[in-house]
Amino acid sequence: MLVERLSFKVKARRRAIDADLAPGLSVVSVSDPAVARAFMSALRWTDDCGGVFWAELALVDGSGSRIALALERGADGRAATRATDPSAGALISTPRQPIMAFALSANDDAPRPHPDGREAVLSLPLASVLPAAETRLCTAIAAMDDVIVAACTEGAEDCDAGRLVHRAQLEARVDQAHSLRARRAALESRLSWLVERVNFIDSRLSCIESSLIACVERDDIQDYIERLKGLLRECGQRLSSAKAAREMLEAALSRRAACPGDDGAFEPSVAAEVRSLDGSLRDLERKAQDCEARLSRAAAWAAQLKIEQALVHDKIRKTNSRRCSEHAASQARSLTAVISDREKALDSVASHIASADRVLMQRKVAERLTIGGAAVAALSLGAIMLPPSVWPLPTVAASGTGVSILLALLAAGLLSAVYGIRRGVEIEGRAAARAALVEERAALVRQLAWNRQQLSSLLGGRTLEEYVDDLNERRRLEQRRNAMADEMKEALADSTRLHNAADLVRVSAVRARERLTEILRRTGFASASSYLDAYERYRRLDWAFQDARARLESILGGLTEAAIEMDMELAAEEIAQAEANRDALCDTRVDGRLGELSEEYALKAAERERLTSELASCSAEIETTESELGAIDVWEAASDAAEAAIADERAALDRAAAACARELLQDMLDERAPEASARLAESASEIFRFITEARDTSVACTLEEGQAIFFLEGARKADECMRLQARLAIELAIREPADRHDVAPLVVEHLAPIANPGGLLAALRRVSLTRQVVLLASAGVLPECAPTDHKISIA
Amino acid sequence: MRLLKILHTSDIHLDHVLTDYGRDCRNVRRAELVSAFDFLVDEAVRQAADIMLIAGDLLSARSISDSTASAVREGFRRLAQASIFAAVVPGEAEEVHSLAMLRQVCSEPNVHLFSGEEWSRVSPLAGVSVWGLRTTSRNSTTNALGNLVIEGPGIHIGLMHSTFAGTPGLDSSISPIVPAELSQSGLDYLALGHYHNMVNNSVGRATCWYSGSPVHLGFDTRGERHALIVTVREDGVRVYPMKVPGRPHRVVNIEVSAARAREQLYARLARLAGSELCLRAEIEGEVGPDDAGLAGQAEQDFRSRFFHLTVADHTTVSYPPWRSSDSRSRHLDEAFFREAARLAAESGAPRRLPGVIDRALKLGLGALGEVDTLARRETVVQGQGQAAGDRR
Repeated sequence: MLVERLSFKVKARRRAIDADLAPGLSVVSVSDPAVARAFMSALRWTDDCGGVFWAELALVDGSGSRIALALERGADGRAATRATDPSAGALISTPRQPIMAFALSANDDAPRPHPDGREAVLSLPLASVLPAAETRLCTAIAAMDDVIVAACTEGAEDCDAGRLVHRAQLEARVDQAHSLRARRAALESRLSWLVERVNFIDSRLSCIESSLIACVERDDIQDYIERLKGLLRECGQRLSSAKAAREMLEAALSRRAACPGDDGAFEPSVAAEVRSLDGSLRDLERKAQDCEARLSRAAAWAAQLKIEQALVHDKIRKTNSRRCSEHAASQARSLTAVISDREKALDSVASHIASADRVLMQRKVAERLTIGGAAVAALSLGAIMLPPSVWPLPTVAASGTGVSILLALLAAGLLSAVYGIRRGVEIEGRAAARAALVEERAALVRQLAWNRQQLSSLLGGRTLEEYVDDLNERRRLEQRRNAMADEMKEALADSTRLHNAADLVRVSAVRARERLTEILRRTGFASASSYLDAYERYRRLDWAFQDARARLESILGGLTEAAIEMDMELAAEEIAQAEANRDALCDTRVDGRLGELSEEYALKAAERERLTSELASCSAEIETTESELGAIDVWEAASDAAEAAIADERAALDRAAAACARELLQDMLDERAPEASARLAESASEIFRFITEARDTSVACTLEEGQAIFFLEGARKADECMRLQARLAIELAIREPADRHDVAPLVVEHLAPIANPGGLLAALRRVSLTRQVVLLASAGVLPECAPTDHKISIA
Repeated sequence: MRLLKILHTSDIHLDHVLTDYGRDCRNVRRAELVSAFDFLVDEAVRQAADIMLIAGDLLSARSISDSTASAVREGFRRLAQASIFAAVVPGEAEEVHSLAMLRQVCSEPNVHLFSGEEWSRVSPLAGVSVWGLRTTSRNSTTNALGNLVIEGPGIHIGLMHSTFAGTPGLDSSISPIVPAELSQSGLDYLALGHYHNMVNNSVGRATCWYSGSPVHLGFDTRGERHALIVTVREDGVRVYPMKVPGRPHRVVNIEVSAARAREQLYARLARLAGSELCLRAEIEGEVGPDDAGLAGQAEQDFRSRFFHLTVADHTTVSYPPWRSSDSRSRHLDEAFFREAARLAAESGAPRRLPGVIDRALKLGLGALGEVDTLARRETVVQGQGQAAGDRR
């Protein structure tokens, strides 16, 4: 098989790329990693070429026939491949794995140490390196694992526990449904009993109620009968009372008729007028007497006032003769005050003069002090001024002490003279002031004498107090005189008024007497008192009559005796009827058991209330139970539980069988894998020797923990280039058995930088002798290519 | 003596869990059980039966739903409207939860439930006595019929849920009845339940029948289902089986050979296919390693052509002739078969569940075959491509 041309569109870059490939070795350099991925993806030609929109491959198979492969994507992004025969234009079947493509891993560049000291070249999962038969075993083992997992998602014990829990839950659901049913049945039973019991209680209560009502009705009728009997008795009593009252009425009527004055003389208005007139007359008489007495008292009072008035007039005249006036009294009071002030000023001047006299007596002392001081000072000064020879005592004159004493005497003399002068000046001043005071005292004495003379002439020789007393007496008498004048007027007016009142009383009495005389004459009585006595007697008889009539009317109550007798007959008939009704309601079974029935009624009513509430709660609980039961499909749950039990058994069998099969398959794999790996190592060694021409070097393979680990053996120095060549040989050896009728082109990806790309290129060039080889590498490889190599650079 | 007509049935197992059926058709079968009971009630009314005898297992107390219980009560009400008396004895399926559900459905006044463990009698009609007892764990080992003492004239009918000794295919033993006791019992007719197929166990003048279940509860029962119409007259007791319509059930044994197992099985299933049929196919014989998973695949392929299909695999895998005499044959299926055979033959092998190695063999071969099939398919496709190329 040969790839002639590759066209594809990179999905990530939206870029179409065409590459013509040649037989032999083609080295492709791609700078864009996305393009490189798309390139490899297109050449791998898997079901879903990732990273490409579309791709086209032009192939030539071993027989020289051309095949055009096309990959397109639908609207949903799914890839569809088709193969066509370009010469016939017909669709043909897509060849299986037309290209062998792999990436040489770069992560194994550093040799990995192995426990036995060798350096591993490559380590791959066992399943990926074994030949087809052993790969089938691996797949079958994986299928057994899937069966075990399907039978149980977790560990076997946990899985069984989970299934048991699930089954237990289903069984519990069924059990719950049955317990709910049992509860419902119990509740329904209780409910029916409750309904029955409530019905019974209702009937019993109704029965008791009717009995109690009959008793009450009978009691009501009995009360009615009693009331009728009472009415009957009352009517009888009223009849007898009315009879007695009527007799009393007739007696009162006859007594009143026998009393005189039955012709209207004893009208209450007449009697009241007579009584009033009689009272008025008496009152008027009393008033007339009173008026007379007061008139006489008023006359005596007026006479007494006239006498007193004369006396007061005399006194006033006497007072007026002493000539007192308010003005004079006022002036006298002023003069008295002036005199008093001046007497005080005179006393003050006298005291000042006495004081000045006491100062003047010290004048001699001052003169002596002045003269004496001056003399001492002059002597002392002279002694000081004298020559020492003049001194009688030379010792004294020569010494300092004598001079000091002289100086002291000089000072004292000077001081004494100065003090005496000053004192003399003061005393001279006081002497001048005393002369002024003496003059002032003389003026005050004159004024005082004048004022005293004025006061004496004003008071007429009396003292000021006597003058004032006379003045007050005259004023009091004048007031008394005025008051008596007023009293006199009042007494005269009172006397006039009493006269008038006495006249009025007299006239009123005359008129009342005339009226009373007229009434008495008309009624035939001699005096008012006899009339009033007769009237009182008549009134008492009339009151007795009225009482008797009111009592009779009260007893009859607005009826007549005949009507009462008729009522009595009707009541008697009603009593008979009611007694018959009462007797009809009598029940001997109930008699005497009323208390017991009432008690039973109360108990039953309470029980009914309790049962009704229990009935309601019972009904509610049944509804709840029904709803819970409705939520459970018992049959479904029981079926699921039974099915789960069967499924458990089946799963247990499957799990055991799958585990057994897996064990057998694993044994087979363990038995075959070393042989297969040895074959693979041999094949890889041959390829390695072919591509490197290293005749003494071989590839060995060991199996460890599901991994196939490859080593280079026989190489004196396994450098990086050799390890890379070894990896290439191993990968080729793994994939070579897949070649069937045609040798597939080899596509190798190695984008990592290579220290010595010449070794890899040489090896690939050797491989290209057997098949077309395409190397996808970094740009650094291109310069190392041989001229025969086909170089493609994609930017 | 007037004619006495009885409808005798048993073992309806209403609301049975029906685990033999798939989840999708289980509900339909459940409804069909209720329909069968309704049919029996309708027939009792239509044929003017005097008594309906239900010899146990009327319902599955553990799983019965309220709706089904209501349907049964409604059926009993319809019997009451037609003045038909129903007598019921409990079966072991109703012993769950103290007969509560059975008591509930049998609460109609025309229904008598024999719930005592000793014989008791009820007289639904003048001169007719129905004797019954409830068989429980306490009296299941005693010969209950020996304790029956019949008194008085008239017709005496017995009703039991028990085992008649010697009934073929009835392994369990509940209050066993022996023919001698039956002949001496004085019963005119003994209606039995518990065995799901109709059987006549009459001895001399004593007539005794199992009515069998009127429905298929799975694939344990075969053929048509029946109830019994029993007439009692002066000249004796006559029993007429009455067919109860229902969904057809078949259990077929399909013998296959290793070379043509798939072909034989598929051909047989294609012939049997019917949308109303419940079929259980028991595959027997030998199959090749490639057909190790044949039963499951056939069930999957034919499921849509049956109302219900179960394919039970009783085959053994055979592998002659060997393509290689070496135990380490490059043919993996051969090698695996040899490994499995070695394991089965190992005397010191760890204890395994019965059939585990056989199942493991089929699973392993199936897995290897599936891998191989995929590889073969790819080869075929490639071959076709190659052939096309050759044609070109």
